Amino acid sequence: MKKLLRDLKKKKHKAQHELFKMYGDFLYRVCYRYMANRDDAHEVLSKAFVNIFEKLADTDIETEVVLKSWMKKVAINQSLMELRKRKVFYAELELIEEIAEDTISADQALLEADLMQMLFELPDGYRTVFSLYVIEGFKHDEIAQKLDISVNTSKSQLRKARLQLQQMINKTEIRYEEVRRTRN
Amino acid sequence: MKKSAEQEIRQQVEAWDEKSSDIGFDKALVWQNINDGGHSAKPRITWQQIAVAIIIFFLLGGWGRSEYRNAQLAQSTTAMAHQIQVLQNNAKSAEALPVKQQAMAQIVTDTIVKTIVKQVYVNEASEELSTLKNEYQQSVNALAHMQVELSNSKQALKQYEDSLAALSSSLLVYQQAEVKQDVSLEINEAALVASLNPDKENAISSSQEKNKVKLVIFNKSKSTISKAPASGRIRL
Repeated sequence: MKKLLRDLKKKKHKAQHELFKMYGDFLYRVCYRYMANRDDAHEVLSKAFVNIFEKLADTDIETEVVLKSWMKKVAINQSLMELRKRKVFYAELELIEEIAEDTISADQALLEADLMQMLFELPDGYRTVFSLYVIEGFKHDEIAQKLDISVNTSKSQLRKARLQLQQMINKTEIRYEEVRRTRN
Repeated sequence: MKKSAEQEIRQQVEAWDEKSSDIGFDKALVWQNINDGGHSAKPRITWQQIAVAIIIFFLLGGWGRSEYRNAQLAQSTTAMAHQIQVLQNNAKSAEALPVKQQAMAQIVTDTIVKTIVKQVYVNEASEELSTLKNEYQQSVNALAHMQVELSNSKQALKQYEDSLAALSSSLLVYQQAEVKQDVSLEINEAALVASLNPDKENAISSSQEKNKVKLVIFNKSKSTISKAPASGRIRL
């Protein structure tokens, strides 16, 4: 791995191809989660890898774990850059009450495929803020800074994403229940 | 009992990221894009895209042709508008021309009328002037004649006065003589008054000629008749 990193910092083509084969699929999925579109994910991933190859020499990355995390950030940032260009986030004048944020709840475990489908069905703005907040663990002020939106807009988008996901989960659980009854 | 699902969602998404199942990832295409600079995915041209391109080409051709026709029409429309403007200007000029001609004719007519009026005025004035001159001359002549007649009348009046004075003195003489010689005096008073009135001098007709002032002196022995005609024709 150290040799690979060293070759990557020297911008050796073979090492770059090796890195692409190792993490291409993983980074593609990350991009796909944000773009929710195959062609857009391809384009964003291409740009992300170009950035990775360009900037890796300037980092002091020495371990694979750090490298993977760093590449994921690059891919996410590239996705956010594309989403910002499309202006999918709309500033809202809605008053966000400072109350304990409701989280999504479920009675039973959700199937991975259903869960991912729900995520992809969310509008771009909702899905992006939800992913950044819930999955990546960013705070609202960080999200606001990354997406060039206000904190209130970030909160509003998250709240709406949660509401919509909750509705979808409820429907999915009803469907699960019906399937269970049918089997019994 | 519901439980928070967000942690579960997070774990499931992270697990999904690590999976290698195919979700449409075209490694060759992305790698090609990376080698090309990563700017854009290299397009894969399908027959549908070619068909669409051909359709777009024809549509663009039609559009260009229609644009060209539109431009030509616009140009001709502009030219027609210009011609219409020129014609309108000509029409306005043509409409204005008779008025100008009429105005000119009016001016000419006025001039002619003035000229004629001036000539007529001069002729009439000359005639009137000559008429006035004639009348003035007649008036002057009449005045001179009247002055002459007035002078004559004054002279006649003077003669009448002289005659009357002579008659008065004669009457006195005869009265004295009558007292002494039984002389009677007969005077035609009407004729005498008429003769004393100069205005009625002309009114004395020839018939009145017979009624001349007649002074008849009777004497027992003989009679003597003296007559004084009017207007200087008094005779004794």
